[in-house]
Amino acid sequence: MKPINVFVVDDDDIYQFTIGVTLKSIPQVGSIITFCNGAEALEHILAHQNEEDELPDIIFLDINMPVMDGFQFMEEFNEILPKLNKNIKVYMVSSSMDPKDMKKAKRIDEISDYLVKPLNSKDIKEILTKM
Amino acid sequence: MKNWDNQDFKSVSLFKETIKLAKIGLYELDVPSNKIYWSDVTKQIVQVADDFVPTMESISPFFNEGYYKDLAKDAMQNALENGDTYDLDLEVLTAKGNVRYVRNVGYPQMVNGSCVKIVGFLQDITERKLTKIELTKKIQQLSLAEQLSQIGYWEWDILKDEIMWSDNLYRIFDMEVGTPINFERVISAIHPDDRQMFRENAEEIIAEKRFRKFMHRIIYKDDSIHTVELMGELITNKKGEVVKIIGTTQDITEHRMSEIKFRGLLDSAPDTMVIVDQNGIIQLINKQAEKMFGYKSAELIDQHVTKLVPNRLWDTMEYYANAFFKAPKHTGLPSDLDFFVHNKSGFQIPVQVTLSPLKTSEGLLVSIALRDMTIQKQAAHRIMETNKSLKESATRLKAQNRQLEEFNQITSHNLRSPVSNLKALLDIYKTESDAGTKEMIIDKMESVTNHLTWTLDTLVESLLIKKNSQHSLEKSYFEEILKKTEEMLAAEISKTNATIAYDFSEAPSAMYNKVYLESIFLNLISNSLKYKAENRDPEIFVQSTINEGIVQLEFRDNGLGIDLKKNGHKLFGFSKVFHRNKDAKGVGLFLTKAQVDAMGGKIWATSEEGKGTSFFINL
Repeated sequence: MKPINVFVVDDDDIYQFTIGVTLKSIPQVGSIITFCNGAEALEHILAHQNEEDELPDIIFLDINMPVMDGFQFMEEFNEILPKLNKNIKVYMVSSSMDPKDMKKAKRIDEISDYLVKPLNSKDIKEILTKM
Repeated sequence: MKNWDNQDFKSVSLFKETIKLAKIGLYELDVPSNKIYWSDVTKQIVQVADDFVPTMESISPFFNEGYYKDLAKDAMQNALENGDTYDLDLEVLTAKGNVRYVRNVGYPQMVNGSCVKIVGFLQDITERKLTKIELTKKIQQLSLAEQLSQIGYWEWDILKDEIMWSDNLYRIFDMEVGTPINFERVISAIHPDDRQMFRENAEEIIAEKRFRKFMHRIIYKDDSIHTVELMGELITNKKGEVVKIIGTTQDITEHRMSEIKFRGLLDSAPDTMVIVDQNGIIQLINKQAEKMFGYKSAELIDQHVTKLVPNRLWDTMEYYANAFFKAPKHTGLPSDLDFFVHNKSGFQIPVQVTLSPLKTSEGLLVSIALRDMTIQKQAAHRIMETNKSLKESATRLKAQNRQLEEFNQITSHNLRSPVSNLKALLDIYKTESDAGTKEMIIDKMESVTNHLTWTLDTLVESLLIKKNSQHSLEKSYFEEILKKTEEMLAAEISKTNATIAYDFSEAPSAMYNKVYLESIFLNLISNSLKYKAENRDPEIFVQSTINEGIVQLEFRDNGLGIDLKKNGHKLFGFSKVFHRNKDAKGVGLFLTKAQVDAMGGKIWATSEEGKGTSFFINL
């Protein structure tokens, strides 16, 4: 089985640290790349759109970020997704329990699920085994 | 009477002349011979020729058949049979066909109980009779006129206290014609409530030597009450003392009743009614008018209607009056005219005006109906005020709702985020065995805790802003505040090589919370320095203007700019940063907005990416 490439898009460095620790403890996980906001992640995807191995299998996407937030990222991402020859799953991850954000996320088909922080290793393992 | 003979008459020429002048004609009837003698004057009266020979037959046609002929025959018969003298007023038909009135006096001479001769005379009384008939006719007409117009005539001889009444006046007083009248008798006939007034009027008229018409009431035997009006003239003696008053008394009950009815109608109208003539002179007002204007009826009657209208509206009034008289019809003045009247104390009352023509025997009058619009105006005003305050409440509620939402978002994200980090760190700490990693996790926990503390402090600060906003307003000069801000940011300004220009000439100061104002200046200017464009030195321009009475501040820079289409909705949110800048914490604008909102103002921005940003604040 091919290792799973994971993108973590979040401006919170503590979160980057904690999820990094969790992901590293899961054997299926291949590369882990972190970005501070949507724009950085988008730049990376655009730069490697023809290199399947450089593209993520799964993105853990935060909502509240500077420069480009999670929803803004999804708008741009949806446009380039058809050009990518890869099935990329996006999980929205936020500490916000604001129903407005949840509803908004649910309306976007490309978002597989809405997860509330903190994520524990059990949850992440479950998601990854589904892949 | 002397026993005289016609021969006596003939012989005395002076006597003859006298009776001729007096138009007295003599006649004599010799009974045994039935011979008649007529003097010349007699012949003249009957208009026969001088050679006319009167006989019983020939004189018969001079008596008109009927009443006068019968009267003459009866008198003649009585004279012949009983020797009765007679004195008759007769109508005769002269030989020329004229009707004449004559006085016929006859003295029969009796001899042994039988009449032998009748001596008599005729006097032409036509003129007198005609005058008398004319007079009688006139008196009858006058009496009729009196009756028809319900007028009675009276004369009061003050010195003798004798009062003469015309027949009709007795009828007006419901008293028997001919009842002797004096002042007290008149008094007793008057309605008890009016007696005192009548006395006072009489005394006043005599004292002032001027008759003013006045009214009083009379109670009839059938208990009906009648109102009469007196008019009169004074007659004075050589010393100027009033000795006599003559005048008329008119029963004006019907007139008065219709007036009372009209008045009643007028008074029962809910609106103020002022009736004026074509010249604008007030003729009549109702009770409501007295109430509205604070004048007694007597103070307004005969005054010009402008007395009730403020000067500034005289032209308006004249315009509508002219239009009305051009085509008199029921006219309501436009309801949006904003017409006012003013009362005795000068207080102005908004009114709705309606004009109606009133045709009377004295000519065309205008009935002006005024409706007091004070309550409606107040209500309208109140509705407007309520509307305004409703709108304000709605705006405030909206703002509060937005603040709540904002707060909700802050707690759900900005507070939950460090807490969830702590939890995640704790989980890792528990499973981690490496001491070095554990140490690092503790460091991170400390950093998260600091962040959490800072977030809480900021939140508390913003809540305090919202709560304490209205305190400590003071006159704050923009220039002074800008200088202070420049001092505080001196290091950044010199590092970025920024220039700060300003123009506070239009509004040099504002009443504001000075601490907030300083904070606003500091936040916006430090933002402009922080988010400066890479390729150029920051140029910042601060300006104050007055827009519809509100002081407006503008902070304009030539910095990075923000894509407001994407980020406009969260520009002033908590912990929102839009640039990859290490110092960005995203609380400056959040706190600035909290301060502006708290002071009841407004903040917004215009921006173009790569060109710069302008922040506007309505203080």
